[in-house]
Amino acid sequence: MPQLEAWEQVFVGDEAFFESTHGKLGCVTCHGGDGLAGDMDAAHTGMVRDPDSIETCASCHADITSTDAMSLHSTLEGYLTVLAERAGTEELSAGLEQAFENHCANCHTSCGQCHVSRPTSAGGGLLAGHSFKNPPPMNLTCTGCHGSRINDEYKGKNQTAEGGMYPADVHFNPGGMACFECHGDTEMHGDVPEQSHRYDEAAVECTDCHPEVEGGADGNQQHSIHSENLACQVCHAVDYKNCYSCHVQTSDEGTPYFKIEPSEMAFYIGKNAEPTEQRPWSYVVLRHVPIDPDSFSFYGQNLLPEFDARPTFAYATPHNIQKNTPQNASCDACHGNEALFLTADKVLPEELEANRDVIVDVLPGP
Amino acid sequence: MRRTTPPIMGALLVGLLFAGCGTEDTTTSTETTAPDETTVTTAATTTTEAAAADASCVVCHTDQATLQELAVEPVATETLSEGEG
Repeated sequence: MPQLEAWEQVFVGDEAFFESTHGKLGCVTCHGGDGLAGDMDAAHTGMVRDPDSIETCASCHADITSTDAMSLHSTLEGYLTVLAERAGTEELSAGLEQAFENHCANCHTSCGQCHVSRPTSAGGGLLAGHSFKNPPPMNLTCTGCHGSRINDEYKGKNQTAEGGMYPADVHFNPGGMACFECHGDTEMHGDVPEQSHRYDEAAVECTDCHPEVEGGADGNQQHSIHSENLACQVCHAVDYKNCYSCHVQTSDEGTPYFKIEPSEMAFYIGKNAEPTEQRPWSYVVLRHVPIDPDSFSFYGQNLLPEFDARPTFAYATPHNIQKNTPQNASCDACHGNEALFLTADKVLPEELEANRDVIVDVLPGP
Repeated sequence: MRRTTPPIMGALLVGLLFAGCGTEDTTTSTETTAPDETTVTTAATTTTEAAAADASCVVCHTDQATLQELAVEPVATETLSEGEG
């Protein structure tokens, strides 16, 4: 999204804000600094641009901040979980810790970075003249960070090989649904069973709104046959971005940066490596994630000795849902169609072991 | 190097700020008696105090011209990253 100019980022242009509950608290109450200083530098001494949720917001919103502190957006525990698994240790090595701090931790959010300003990792700046937005505008918060995959899939911004465009997710167009209509405050504020990864406990399921699909209660024969064996996305998602080989490092001046191979639009049905009560399916959709055994080699040698502990084709929930897709056009459009399935020939030789549990060895027959 | 703020227009602006802050009745009791004057006065005093403590903040951060004059655009650095993030 376009970046705000420096002055725009801090322009408190909403006059109504000062009459709001938050506005009446006063600037210094949350931000510190010296509100009576006649000099900018003096006024900003001790000022906190992004107040800490626990130290500030909790004074009135303790019921939210108490769980939000453990939310995945706050802790980034999901990153740590997958890194630890590939590292083979619960505690990250010093090299991985440094890599995480340089390249991942910037995505940590605070209350303000959703409800008052754009996330820092997306450029920062007030959302709307310092008004508190509940729910936050998805275009400036959610998709500011979740941009290259979710945003492009959801809004139909991915280009096909033929030069056309993939359709938007039907929940966006024509559904007109914003992110928070599925991913509500309960999930965002961490008020869910303890999560170490976003897929640990499904905060939202398709059947929450579409219960009739289960077991084919809606009379749809395909739902009757497949709903227990296939994730919904297997029939209703389309091509999505798959990313490869990201390597991170810092410049001589200490500036973090990355280099990543071009992404690939593709669709892969694979085996469900970790079936759960909520996700009991045999087949799910998989997305290649840009991890590489040498992704963090700048920070040390052999930092991921258990690289094969997790697949590189990960369980995915592409946000590009369609009612009608190429694979659900007919039985034979999917059954026996090797192009749809993650077979061994589609996996890099050095990644075969990591993906042993998700590769489809025997295609569902026609 | 940052420039200092223009001299604040002292009491006039501060007075204008106070004029915009109405008193606030924060009484939440369900009783039918009239609001406790002490509560109203205390709330109004707190609101006024908060406004008084933020005079410098508000004067600058509500003035587009001032911010444009003072804002320091970050130095554009060469993007070293390659590929889609």
